This record gives sequence, C-alpha cells and structure tokens, in this order.
Amino acid sequence: MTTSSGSSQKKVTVGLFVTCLIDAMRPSAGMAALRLLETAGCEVVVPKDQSCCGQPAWNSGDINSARKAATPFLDAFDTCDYVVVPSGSCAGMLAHHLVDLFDGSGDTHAQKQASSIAAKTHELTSFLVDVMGMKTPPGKTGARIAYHDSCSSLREMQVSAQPRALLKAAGADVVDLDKADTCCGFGGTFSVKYGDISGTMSDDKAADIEGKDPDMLVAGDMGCLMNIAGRLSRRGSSVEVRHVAEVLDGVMEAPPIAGPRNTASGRPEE
Amino acid sequence: METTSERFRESVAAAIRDDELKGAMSKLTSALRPKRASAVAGLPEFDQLRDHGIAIKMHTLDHMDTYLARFEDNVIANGGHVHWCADEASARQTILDLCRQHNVRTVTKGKSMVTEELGLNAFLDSHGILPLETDLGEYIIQLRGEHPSHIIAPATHLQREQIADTFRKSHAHLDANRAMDTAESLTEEARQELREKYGAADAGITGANFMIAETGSTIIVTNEGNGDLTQTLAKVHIVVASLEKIIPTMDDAGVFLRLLARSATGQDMSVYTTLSSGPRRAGDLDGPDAFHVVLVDNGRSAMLGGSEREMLRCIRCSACLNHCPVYASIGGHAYGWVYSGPMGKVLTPSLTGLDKAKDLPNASSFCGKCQEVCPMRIPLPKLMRNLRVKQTEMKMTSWRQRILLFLWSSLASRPALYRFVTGAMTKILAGLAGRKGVFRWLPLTGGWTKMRDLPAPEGGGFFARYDASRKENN
Amino acid sequence: MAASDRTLIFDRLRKAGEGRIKAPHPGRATPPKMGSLSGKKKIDRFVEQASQQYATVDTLSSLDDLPRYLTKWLRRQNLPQEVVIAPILEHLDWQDTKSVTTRTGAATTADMVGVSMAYGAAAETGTVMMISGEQTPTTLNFVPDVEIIVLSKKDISAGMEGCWDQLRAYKDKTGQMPRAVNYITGPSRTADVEATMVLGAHGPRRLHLLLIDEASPWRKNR
Repeated sequence: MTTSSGSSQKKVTVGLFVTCLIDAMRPSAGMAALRLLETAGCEVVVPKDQSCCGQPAWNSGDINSARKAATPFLDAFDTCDYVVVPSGSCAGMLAHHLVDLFDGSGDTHAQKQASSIAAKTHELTSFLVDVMGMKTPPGKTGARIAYHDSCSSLREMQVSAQPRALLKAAGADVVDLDKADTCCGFGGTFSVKYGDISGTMSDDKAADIEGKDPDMLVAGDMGCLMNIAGRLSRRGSSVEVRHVAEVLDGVMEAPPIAGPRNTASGRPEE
Repeated sequence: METTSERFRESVAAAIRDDELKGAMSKLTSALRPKRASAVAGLPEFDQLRDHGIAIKMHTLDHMDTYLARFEDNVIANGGHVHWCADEASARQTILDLCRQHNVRTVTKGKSMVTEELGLNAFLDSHGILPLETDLGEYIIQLRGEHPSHIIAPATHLQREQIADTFRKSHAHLDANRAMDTAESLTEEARQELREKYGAADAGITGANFMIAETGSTIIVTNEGNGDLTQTLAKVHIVVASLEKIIPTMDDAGVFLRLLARSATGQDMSVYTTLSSGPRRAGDLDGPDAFHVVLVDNGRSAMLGGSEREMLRCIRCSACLNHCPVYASIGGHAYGWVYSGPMGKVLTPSLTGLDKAKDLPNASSFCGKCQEVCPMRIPLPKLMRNLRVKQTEMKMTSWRQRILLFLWSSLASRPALYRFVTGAMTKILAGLAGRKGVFRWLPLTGGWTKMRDLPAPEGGGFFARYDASRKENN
Repeated sequence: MAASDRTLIFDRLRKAGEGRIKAPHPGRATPPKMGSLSGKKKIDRFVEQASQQYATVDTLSSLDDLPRYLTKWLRRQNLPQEVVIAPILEHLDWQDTKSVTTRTGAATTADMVGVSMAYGAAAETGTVMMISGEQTPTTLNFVPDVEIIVLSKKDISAGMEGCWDQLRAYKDKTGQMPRAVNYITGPSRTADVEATMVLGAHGPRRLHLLLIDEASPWRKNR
C-alpha cells in the first residue's frame, strides 16, 4: 500500500460524489473509489446530502427539474478542496454545465457555489494521476483489458492516458479498440428513448470489443458499462465488465457487471 | 421539399433492418473518417485557421445587411441580377419567372441543397420545365425518385448493385450486356449520358458554397466539373443561394476553402473551385448570356436573431454526418428532410418547425464527436439541447417524460428520502434478479431490453455499505 | 413582390442585429507554411502537389516549343492529332508541326484535346488558376477529354493569396472581374459510387501541365 509523500502538511480533502448510477447499481465501485483516494493520501468525505448532478433532466431540456435535483449538491460539496467523481459524464456535468444550469436562476449564491464546484471537480483517474501523482495503483492484474473511453471523459474531461497508465502499472495488458472514440450508444435517456439506435450502437461496440478478445472490458463510466455489459451479455460473451476503480483498487469482490451472482470473487487470473 | 421527419421512428426501425444501407454506411465512414484525420494532421495550422474562419463568420453574421448589399451592387456592376426571396414560395416563383422570361424548357442542375429545400425540381416539372441533375449522386437519385441522403454525397445510401440496377432500367437504350460491375463503368456511363445535355440546356442552375461581397462572385466547389459545365454551356446561369453563404472578401474565401475539402473528403483542395461573376463579357467566346442570383431567406434571418444563430456558421462540409454514430446507424433518409446528421438535427427543426421534427434534437447521445470535427466548432450538442429546452417549455415532450423527470427530481432534491427509496428499490430488484445478475426485461425498459440485458443492481445503495464499513473500522 | 421581399429581408436582418455588440473582422489570415514557400521550393511544391492529384507535369524549353512538343506527345499518348487551342496560343508556329491541326476558340463535345494557358497558380495545393476571356475560353477547361494547360513558373504563387491579388489587379486594370475564375487541381473525379474514387467524371479525364520558365504572354501586357 503506497501513500503519497507523508509530510506534515495538511491532507487534501476530497468530497467523493459516487453518482446516482454507482449508488443504485454498483456501490462496490464507489467503495473502491473511496479506498483509492485514501490510498493516494486524501482525506475523503462522502457528504450524505448527495443524490444526482442533474444531468438527466439537463440533457432532456427540463431546466427546472435539473436545478431542483442539483440544488442539495451545492451545499453538500461547499467546503471540500476537490470534488472527485468516478464518472466522466457526471464530472463533465459539474465541471462544464453546472454553471450554465444555475445561470438565469436568479440565485446569485447558488451561481457562486456552482462556479466554485465547477472549478474543483475532477474525474477519478485523472485526479489520482494528475493531482495526487499516483504512479502505481494498489490493484494487481495480468489481465488483457480493453479500455473504453466514455465520450464525456474523452471530450469534456480530457481523460484517456491516465486510466491506461494506471492499468498498465497494475500489470494489465491494455488494448485499444478499433473504433475507440466512437460512442457506445448509452447517452443517458437516449438508451431507452431511442433503444433501437442505441442498441445498434452498443452492438457495434460489443463486436469491436469481442474482436480484440480481451479478458475484461473496463471503463470509468457506469452508464457505458451497463450498456456495453448488457449487450455483451445478450450476445453470450464471456468478457468481464468492470469499473476502472474496481480494477485499480484490486479488491474486486463483486461479480462483474451483468455477470452471474454465484461465481467466487470474479477476480481474473494473475 | 416535404418533410417526413414526423415518421422518424418508423423510418429508423426500417433503416436498422436494412443490410444494404448498413453496408453503404460502413463504406462511407471507413473511407471518409481516416481521410479527414489524415488531411487535418497534414496541416499544422488547421486549428488556427478554424479560429480565423469562425471569427470571419461571426463578424459577417453581425453585418449581413452590409455585405449582402455590397454583394448585390457588385453583381449588378458585373452585369448580373439579384433577386430577393423571403420564403420558399417566393423563391420557387422567382425561379419559374426567370425560366419563363428566358424561354427555358430544359434545365441542367449542379448539386444544390437549397434547391432541394425548395422542392424546385418537382415544382419546375409541374410547370413543364424539365430539370436534369448532373452531379453523379444527384443524377442517380433523380432516376430513382429519391431525395439526397447526404449533403455532399447524395447517393451514399446505395450500393453499387443498386446503382447498376437503376441505370439498367433508365438507360434502356444501351447494350444490355455492357459492363456495369465497377464504379468506373457506372461513372463512365453517366458521363456519356450527360455529355450532350449540358449544351442542349436552356438554363443551368447551381448553388453556391460561398458568395463574395467584395467582387459580387458566387463560388462552387466540385470534383466532377458538372457544375462548371452546367453554368458555362447553358444560355442562362441561375445561382440559388441562402443568405448565410455571404462572406466579405476573396481572402476570406481562401480560409474556408482550406477548411472545407479537408473536413469533407480529406482532400487539401477540391478539383474545381470556380468564382462566377456575371454573364459573358464582350469578347468572351463562351459563357452564359445572363447571370441571376436568387437569394433565399426561408428562415435564416429568424435564426440570426435566435438561439440557433451559431448554426449559421455551417459551411456544409458534412464532417458531422461522416463522424456521427447515429447517422452511421440509420442513414440520411430517416431524418426526413434535406439536412440530416447532426447539422440536420438543428437545421431541420429550425427551418421546418420544431413541431414537424420533434424527434430530431432528441435522437442523439450527445457524444460530441460532431462538434469535435466541425471546422466551425459549432456546439451542436448544446444547440440540440437548446431545442430540447424549447420543447419542454412548449410542452412538446411526452407526459411520461415530464412525470418521470418530476418524480426523479423531487426525489433527488430530498437526499434522505432518495437514499431510503433507492436503497429499498435496488434491494428488491437485486432479489428479483437472483443468481442471473441480469434482467431480460423490466417494465418501462422495453427500449433497452429489446437488444440488451439489464444488469441487476447490487442492492441497498452506497450509503448502506459505507456506513457499515465505517462501523467496522471503528 | 421581389422588391418588398428585399425590404422585408433587410428589416429582419437589421432587427436581428439590434443591441448586439458587433464582432470585428479578424483581418487577413496568415497563410500556412505550406502556402508560404518561395524560390525552387515553391516550384517543387507545385509539381509535387499537382502530381499527387493525378495531373501529369512536364516542362517546355520555351513556349515556342509547344507545337512540336504536342506533336510528339499526342502521338505517344495515342491521341488524335487535332487540338482546340486558346487564342492566347494562336500566335505560335503551328504550321511547323506539319501534323497537328488546330482550331482556335471555345471547345465543343467533339474536341478530344484542348490546350490553354493558366493565369496563375497556387503551389500550396498544385492548383492552376484559369480565367475566362477573349484569350482563354472557359470551355477549354471542362469539355475536352484531355486538357493541357501551359503555366509560366513566374505565375506560380505560394498560395491562393497571390492569386487573389492577381485578380484584384486584373479588376483594377480592366474594370471588372473575369466572368469566371476556375481553380483546377488535377483531372475531374467522383466518389459517389460506394465512396470509391474514379478519375474522369464529367470534366476532363486527364490534366497535363506544361511549365515554362519565361513570362507568359499575359505578363507582357500586364
């Protein structure tokens, strides 16, 4: 277990925003994120008054609902040094759209808070590498891992080299997909509203993945992971799907996403 | 042109089952995506040129009246004529009047999306004037009675066999056993068919990629040379162009020309870039006797004052179409109008009305690839979201969506209640899923589960685990 | 009708601009490096780019040599020994060829080979600039199957900026732009069938460029 330079300086406080999808679907990934941040030397707080960043309503064009949903967030994450999010898309919402969301709300206090949150929000793996200087994660794996960049990670948060560097340092054989920068088709409510288009896109992604014959498909966004795992599962694929936090943390007690429940640990072979 | 955007869902369902379309889209994207990437990588100053081009456009949009007036003065000084048309009906009538004025019976056409917007071909045909498309892709779809499915490659939805089939039926006078199995043989056949038609046409109608205020010139950019044959060999040259094609100077054109072909097909420069500045001069040995520019508003000035203003920067390169995973899955016809792909998702509702194109701004995952490749950095996802906001305000969204979002936000704004409800619900669902770990189906999720399993939640929510681990550590 | 449409449109445009802070024009763009070459590098760039775009490029020892060059070239290419030529080339000694017959003027679909002269060129993209007019009819650029264009090296600009300047000078001198300015980069092509590139769509199937060192006849009159 490595800690960053243990000096007498005050520890960085990180507010962990687990995101609604991790909260609902895969709390174990949230716990993995928590452990990673502590390992990196952060003091982590997990404000109880967190739920949603407002993105589903924001993207649907329902500004009022989005503001309502995101309002508790403003107070909850007021005091930490950083807001760290195990999701490129929620991080993108906070870093790039929260200010717009409260613009025109007439609430200058909320606007100030939104501004401050936007400035201190980071996606998890880029935070570990770029801010905390993590070089080697606690997890170890020899697996062949196909890494999927979520569109928000790639285009809004400039995250792509960092998770790969950490996975490689963990011992993984990281492979890139042929159409690495093509959307998997999740897109939030798009995945249900336009299910046939979304499903087709997820199928293209699944075929790309299977073509690389990896042990695992790993990504930093729960929405993409559910979408890709859902299609791989329907195709009868044996590729394991996990959140990048789980692999870097190394514990991996939970079965893979969409994987059957009774398998022991689900940890890949060393 | 009539819109069928209201039938988006049915069109999509059909498109997704269409294997020929799938094959055609795959050929398009696998050809054009790497070509653009390579062309852009080959020009180190690409991003600076983009910035410069955007600045030119934003300045021009702020001074449209000045530049359009200057353009008009110069066209007239060159011996040409300018006609102003506030809407599509006025534009159609103006063009018809010009044809009648010049005794035009046959027309050759260069590719022009704005004339598709106007439904010009059908209109002229109904008045006894025969328009003949000369761009190879447009020629093919005209024979098939189809509309273009892509703004620069109109027949891109077709595979070679389908095109050969069309030629077999339409060129019945040719030898039935002729070679038709290559792109070369089909191109050659179209060349021969059209060769004499240019000179025989009374009028040539082209669009304009740009209009230059400084010189009163219209610019067309082609690879085939058909636009030039169209305008040079006919007696009358009619240019149809929408207002936002105006740019201040020739040097400004140079900036856009460096961006256009690279973004479209990955060429550094298209084969033919032509400036047309009026009718033939005294002493000229060829060229049209008359030059008319038909300027079409048809909704542009309304966009200028509205929230879709940035869309007017579009230079119609098609990079967004070529890189969009939604477009690649469904092809251009599903969008139901002239403009498809990401730019169509903004432009079509803006011009035809949001009520006629309800699905278009919504059928996007907001992946952002379009904005990334757009030479004018048009924030297409943001513009689509703006349209979604308008739909919400105008109560155009489904009652189901409104209720679900209301419930969701009411819950999310009360974190303690949120934790309780989601904790309980996920526990139940986890229990229901049992060993399998997935659901093949759940109520309200048909759109998802048709092609994908739905992973089961771990159950209980994050805070249950977090609180438990805290207790353990203490 | 049209007059009131004009008023309506200008009204709309004016209203759309009300209250806006107007953005300034950014000025002339700096040409990219590949469009700023000079000397031999510039000429080499032109030849390299034109060739990459499927034009063939050769040099003439002098413009006077054109008729004799053509006799040999047409024979080697198995092309008919009949060409339609631009008036600017009429003064050359075509009688000397003994075998090539020429017609001067605009091209018709019966013409297989056309010969004309470029007004300018952009080395950046291997592009020639043709202008319409008494000396160089436009149809020569598009109608014949084979297009031969003579270009003086002295008329090659680094990029299109030089070409725009030439056009401005032309406009100042003659009072008007040429009716048509054609920038041509290689023979015609299309990729409308399955995104497969095919050379020779509706315009010429072949573009042959002939470079001369001396100034063009135009230059002498500029």
